[in-house]
Amino acid sequence: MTTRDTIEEISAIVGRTTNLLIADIGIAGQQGADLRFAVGDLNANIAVYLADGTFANRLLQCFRLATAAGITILQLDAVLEQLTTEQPISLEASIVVENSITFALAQDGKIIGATTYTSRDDVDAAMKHMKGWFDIARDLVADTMDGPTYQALITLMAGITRYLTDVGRPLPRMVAFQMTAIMPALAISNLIYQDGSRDEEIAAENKIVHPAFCPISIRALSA
Amino acid sequence: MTSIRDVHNVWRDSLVPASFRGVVFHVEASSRAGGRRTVVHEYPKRNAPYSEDMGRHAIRWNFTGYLILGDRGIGANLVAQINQLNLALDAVAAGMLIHPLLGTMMVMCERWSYSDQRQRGGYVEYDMQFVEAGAPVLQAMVDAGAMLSQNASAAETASATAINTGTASLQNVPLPQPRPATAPA
Repeated sequence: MTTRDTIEEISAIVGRTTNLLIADIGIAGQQGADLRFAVGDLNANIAVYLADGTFANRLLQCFRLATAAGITILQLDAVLEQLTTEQPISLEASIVVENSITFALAQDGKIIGATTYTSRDDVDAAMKHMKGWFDIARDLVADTMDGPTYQALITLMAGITRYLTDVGRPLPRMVAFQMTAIMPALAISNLIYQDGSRDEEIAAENKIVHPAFCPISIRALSA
Repeated sequence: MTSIRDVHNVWRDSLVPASFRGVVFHVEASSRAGGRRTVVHEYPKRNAPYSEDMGRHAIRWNFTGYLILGDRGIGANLVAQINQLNLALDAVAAGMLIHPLLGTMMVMCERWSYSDQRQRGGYVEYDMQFVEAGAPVLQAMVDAGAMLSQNASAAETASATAINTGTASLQNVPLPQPRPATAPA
């Protein structure tokens, strides 16, 4: 494989990855503009940046700007899905793919660190979700025999697990309540929490059509 | 004249000066109390009790110590020695206690008393009660959020380095010329 082929392969992978990074970022806003500029610049000059050794930091900057611009975990899932289905041929392209996965997971970690969780079920779901990605990434990075990256990935996974465990511990659980009759959300809120102001929370959680008529079986936070 | 110190045996040779927080004192007597904390269950209409083990008692030490005027071993004057020992016994938190025979331990001073007598001028006696310091059950919590942020940054840095190393073969090479455009079919 020639140098040109390798650069073109990396360029195609980076193009697909960065396009997903900007796919759902809003048009307005300085951070979105910074992201689009960085992505466009990287894709236009990738050969130059690979040659001068600044490619890795520029690619990392795209991921960081995407986080700053408000990319979500679901949007990063699309990036991770694309990266994990790539089948690079050259060694250099493989390294770019595997480490881009780590970049994406690091952004996931930052997003999780900045998220306010309201129930332990949300925390459990986030933990399960991240475990799935880390299991895939761990296998991929382990194959590269790159010790420091593998260690950093495992430490990141441990950090996310530790953080979510700490955050989830004091949070209330989502539990099922069986009412005796069809009641308004206000009455249910008062019944469960001795506080009538949480009716909207109950209505939203149970996707209630009319808050005056809640179904008998509902789900609500335990506290 | 031969001193008692000149008579050597294993016990005497292993003695070290007793001290608390580095302030030396002489020991007249010391005792240690320990044991198991138990709850004894005695059942009606049954002869055999059940003693439930609830863990070890904190180890407590009682020392009868003294300071004496003209002490060639400790030095300084007696009043200074008394002040130093009083301050050490009243100081905050656990301190290192050195037993003359049994070595070091981290203890808190629960109670102490000072006494002197006219008939024993220049001799002051201390009764000191120490309890083992142990360790708190709950250690300080780690800031998991800050640690997660550090971990994420470390992973980014490690991966950026890995990419730089892995694409080194593409660095400092002449840029490839654009491929010639192919004619449409």
